[in-house]
Amino acid sequence: MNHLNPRREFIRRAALNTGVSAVILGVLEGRDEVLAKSEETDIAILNAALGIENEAIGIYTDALNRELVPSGLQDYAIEFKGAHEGHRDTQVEILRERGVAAVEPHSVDPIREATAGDAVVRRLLSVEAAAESAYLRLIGRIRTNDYLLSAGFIVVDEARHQTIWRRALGLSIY
Amino acid sequence: MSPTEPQLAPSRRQLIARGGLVLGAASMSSGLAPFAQAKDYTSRREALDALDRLAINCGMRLGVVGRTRPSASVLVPRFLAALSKHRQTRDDVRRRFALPRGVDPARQLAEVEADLPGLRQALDDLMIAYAESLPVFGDSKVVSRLAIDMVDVSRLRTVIDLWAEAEAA
Repeated sequence: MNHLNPRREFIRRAALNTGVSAVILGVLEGRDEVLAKSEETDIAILNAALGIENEAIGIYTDALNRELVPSGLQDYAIEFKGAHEGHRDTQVEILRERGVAAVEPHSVDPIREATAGDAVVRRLLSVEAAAESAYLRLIGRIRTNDYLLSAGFIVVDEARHQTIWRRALGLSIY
Repeated sequence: MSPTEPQLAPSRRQLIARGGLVLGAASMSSGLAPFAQAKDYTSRREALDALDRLAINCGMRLGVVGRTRPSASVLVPRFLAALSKHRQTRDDVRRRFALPRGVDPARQLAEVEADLPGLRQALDDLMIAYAESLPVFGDSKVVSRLAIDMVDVSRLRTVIDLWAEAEAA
């Protein structure tokens, strides 16, 4: 039985499927791990972030392909999936500039729900909350300016997505 | 890391292209088009001064919106409290780096409109300045703290987007 909440489950799956180190996983899970600022750390963070983006893209793709997103919200889901693809491509390009091949996308577990509804939107919200929290935990450990700048622009996107899904669910948005 | 340490710095064109990757896939409503003119801050003080100035503009606009729209009576005080908290964070950062105090918001009064698009733009400018300023700080804890406030500004901006959409509808 899985005792992890959806946000932690998302992070753990994304990280483990990308093969990140125990130290990076510790940071993602909120532990105060010592992580030297170095090229190796940047690459490890990039790969962890790619895992998160690939997991998010997979979940959005599944939700859209199976028409699980409520009809009035599909445009948002399409937009946010595109945003995650943009985040992925940006980080793949940063890795490529460093001469490192990006990790391949991993297979993503299908969404459990069989029909469109709030449960699916809650799942998408948990994806965005997890992504935001992961970037916020990692951003201070980034060494290079170009990646730090990109990560800043990425995390504000995740916050926007999260706010939209919260509003759709009737949750407090501020 | 020193803020001035040369390190795999991308050219402006590379950064613009990279921003385009993000923007190309995301909706233009995310409002990150100014990334194409990304600013390089040369000192922590310059960045903090810019953030203070932009936040004051947001606060003034919020104040006017709050006074002219009864429907804003719940959200505006919360937003102003958030901006005040962000200000305290920046003041802490100034103390950490032994920088002079920032501009006193009470001394920065100007006529601003009560329109939501103007407020939205002001929040957008502040959010982008946060993102652009992160590299200049060169300190993990400071970057993490400012990033949290940056994300908060993104939330404020999105709420204003939703508010403007609702008014237009």
